[in-house]
Amino acid sequence: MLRKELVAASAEPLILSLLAQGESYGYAIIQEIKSRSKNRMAWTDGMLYPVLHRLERKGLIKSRWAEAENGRKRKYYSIKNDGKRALKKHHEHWSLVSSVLAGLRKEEYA
Amino acid sequence: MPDLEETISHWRRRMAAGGLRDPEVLDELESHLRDAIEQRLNSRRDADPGKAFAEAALGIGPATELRHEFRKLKLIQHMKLETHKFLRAILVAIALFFVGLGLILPAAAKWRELGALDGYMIHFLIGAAMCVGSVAWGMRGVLEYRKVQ
Repeated sequence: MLRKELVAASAEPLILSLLAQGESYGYAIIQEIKSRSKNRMAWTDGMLYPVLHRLERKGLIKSRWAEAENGRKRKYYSIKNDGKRALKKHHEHWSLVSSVLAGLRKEEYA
Repeated sequence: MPDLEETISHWRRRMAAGGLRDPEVLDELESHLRDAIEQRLNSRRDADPGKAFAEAALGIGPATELRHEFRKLKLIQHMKLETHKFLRAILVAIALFFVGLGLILPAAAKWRELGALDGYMIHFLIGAAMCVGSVAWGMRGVLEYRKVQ
């Protein structure tokens, strides 16, 4: 299981990455993260919403209420251009961390 | 086992009582809860609605935790506004201080002649204290905002 701090730090780039693939809603986002991480990223379902609302207030994503295929109303989120730019920055930062870590690991076993 | 709809309504009331009062947030959480219940009921033929509800509600978490997170969000927004207000207040305080000083100094020169220097000093110190207080107040707002962010 991933550490709580790492899960929290990765929430924003993960959500933005998922939304960059297309519009989605809270429950589907959680399921996608759980499935991709093979249940190793323990997100409390409810905790996703404050993050989504924060991203929306920051102008990185937008939302709309729409009727789902089952007839119920659902709030759908999609990424905005500022969100795409923020995601690019996240990718750069996480790639940097990953490459530094990989380099150090290589040296450790050299 | 009470009706599922009744159970969901009760859960919603409990979340509201726990401090989540924004109807839109509650609607969104309820939509999530219903999705989670539906998924559990569809995945198992013999699934018990009561159990599916209990698992889904547990997944969402308690209202107190969520309230804390949403409050943090509101605080950030509030602090953004407050920080601007504080900064404006500081500028006004500094401007008033210099205007006051400009008015007091000529009078003080006259008081000094009359031997009333103490009165001038009290005015000056009160003005300076108000100015320092405004700056400290403003800075506290800025620091708290950064801390929360």
